[in-house]
Amino acid sequence: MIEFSQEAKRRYNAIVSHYPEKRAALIPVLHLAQREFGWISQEVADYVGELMDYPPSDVLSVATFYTLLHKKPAGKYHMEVCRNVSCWLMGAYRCVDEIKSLLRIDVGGMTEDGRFSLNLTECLGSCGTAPAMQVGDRYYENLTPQSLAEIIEKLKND
Amino acid sequence: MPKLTINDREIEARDGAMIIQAAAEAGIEIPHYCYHQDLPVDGNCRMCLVEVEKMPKLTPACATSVSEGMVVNTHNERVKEAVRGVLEFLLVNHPVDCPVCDQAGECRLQDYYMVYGLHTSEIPLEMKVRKRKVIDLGPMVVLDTERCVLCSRCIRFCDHVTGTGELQFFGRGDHVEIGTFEDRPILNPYSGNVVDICPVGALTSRDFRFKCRVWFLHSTDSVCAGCSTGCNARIDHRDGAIFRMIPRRNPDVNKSWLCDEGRLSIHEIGRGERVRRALIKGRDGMQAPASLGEALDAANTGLREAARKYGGAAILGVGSASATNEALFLLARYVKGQLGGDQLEFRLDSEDRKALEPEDKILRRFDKHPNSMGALALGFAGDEIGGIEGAISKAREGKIKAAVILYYKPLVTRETDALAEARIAELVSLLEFSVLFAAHKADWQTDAGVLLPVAAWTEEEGTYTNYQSRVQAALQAINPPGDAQPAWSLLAALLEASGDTSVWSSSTDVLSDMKQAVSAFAGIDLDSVYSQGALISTNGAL
Repeated sequence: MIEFSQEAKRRYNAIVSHYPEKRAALIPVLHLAQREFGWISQEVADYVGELMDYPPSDVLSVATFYTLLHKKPAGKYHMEVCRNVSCWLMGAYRCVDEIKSLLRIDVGGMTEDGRFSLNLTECLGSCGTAPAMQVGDRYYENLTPQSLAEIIEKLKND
Repeated sequence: MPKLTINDREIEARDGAMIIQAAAEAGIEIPHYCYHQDLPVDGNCRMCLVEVEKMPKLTPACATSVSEGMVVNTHNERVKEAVRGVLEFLLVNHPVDCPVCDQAGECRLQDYYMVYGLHTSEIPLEMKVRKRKVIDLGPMVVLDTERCVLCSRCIRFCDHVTGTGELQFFGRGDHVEIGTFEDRPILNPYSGNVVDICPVGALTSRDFRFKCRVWFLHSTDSVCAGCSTGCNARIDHRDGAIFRMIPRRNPDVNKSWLCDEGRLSIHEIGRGERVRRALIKGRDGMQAPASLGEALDAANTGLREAARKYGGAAILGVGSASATNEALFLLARYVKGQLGGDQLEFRLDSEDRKALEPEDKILRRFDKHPNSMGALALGFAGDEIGGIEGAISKAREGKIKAAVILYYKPLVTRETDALAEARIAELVSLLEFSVLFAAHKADWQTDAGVLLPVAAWTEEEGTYTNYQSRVQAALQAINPPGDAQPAWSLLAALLEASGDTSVWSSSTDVLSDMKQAVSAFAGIDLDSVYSQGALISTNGAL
């Protein structure tokens, strides 16, 4: 049985207090749970449901709708490369190939040490600095195969 | 009461009605998947798009309320084209496995395709999104997510009717599936309803699937005999075998629902050995088979002899809360009118009290008999006797010597059934002479002087009075086995043999007589009995 840490519980109470009713806070609480547990497993959905008076099916239904909530384990650095038109024209797929060969993983995959995972995403709204990639809360812009190698090297040693 | 025009017809609709309801009440069918009259409106399937004058776009008929002067068109080319398009999208990923789908024949996808679709699929089979099939969702339901049109009826049922919330959508886009959390079984006591309301083959009945193609089934209107709620139901049968029972809508009783126990109670009739022939106990104390005529003679003779010897006060009529009003009425008439008896009883286990007690907030009631209120209205709760236990002690004291007894085993079983049956058995064992009407065999029946084979529920036509004191008719679906006959008909024969001049050729004849003879039934309208049910007056007796 999983449980929020003391710190996460404090955050949970703060989030819930922003809404007229507890159930309205489901999405921010799912984000919190993802930070806490890494991804929304069925166990996490069950726990959140119990916490917020939702049947677990409702929690999982919401979680499976939003791509930003992971339904399988993601790496510490979850790399999401934009594949929409500007980034695509500016060589996003070359960058993806570079990541694949550097980390030896496929799109949707994760490195064995659980450090990196790779996914494609829709427009990041960063067309002016295409190609762009989001890792966690950070944007990396104007990517080239060379800059990617440096970024990955830096993250590896982080 | 707004007036509107649908397809050039002037219609008066109820205030606040949706176009789809107003149209349905006027006999105009608008195609739909997600709309269901007993569930909240969702408006997601887009099949009910109609054209409303002065509205720029087509509008869903299930989510647009009527207004004065509205002009609606439900089948012009623009609407048909839109519906065809919606249907084509709904079928994009459909596996088209109709030959092996249990819904075939009662599938709305098939029905509407024949009316609106008839298009050639642009999507080759190998390009369709494949989803999970044959998922076990508990004792009543099997799920096939590929066939689902995502109408959410089942989800809304679990959210708003049972409040248990087991089912949900998972995923997004064309990968959306319905399902339960971790494929947990749906264990609420009304889960079978999601199968009925599923318009396609996504949810099928574990109990019924692959037993019979639906177009071979004959349907008979009935009333569930599983408890005192008296849910309106439809019995589907073929060649004398019952295959399933599904709800029949009655907004005043069960809406569109039926509980799982009631649904499965059809199997209880076939469980155990049936009484197929009449038996008469001879001088040697052994029962021997006899024709119905011989058995009725023996019954009449034996009872009259007992009445002569001990007086009418020693004769008891034991009704059953599972017997029809007609059988109970004739039993009372026979015992009181012909045998001079004045004692009637039917309570084996406080049915009169339990009949009104809800077991949950939806349909079920604690009394697992369909007609306790009928037995009450027909005077079977003898104050003097006070239940079967009173009858047993009177028999023990020698005050009751003979009885005419109707006994049906309950179709929805509870632990207390054995106790109730043991009480009847004890009473029979104490009596000098008894005439027992029974549908199922049991060891204790060897004590009966005459055993008469009777038709069980679904094998006879008759009326039951539910907890609201609503008289409702259940029609005959199949034939009773062997020599068995409806209890009312055997009692009518007994009455005729003992000189009653009335002639009853059907249960409706008996009901008409009952209307005249019993004040509680005086006000009922026979047509209503056969449709939404008719309330009897209870004169504050409850």
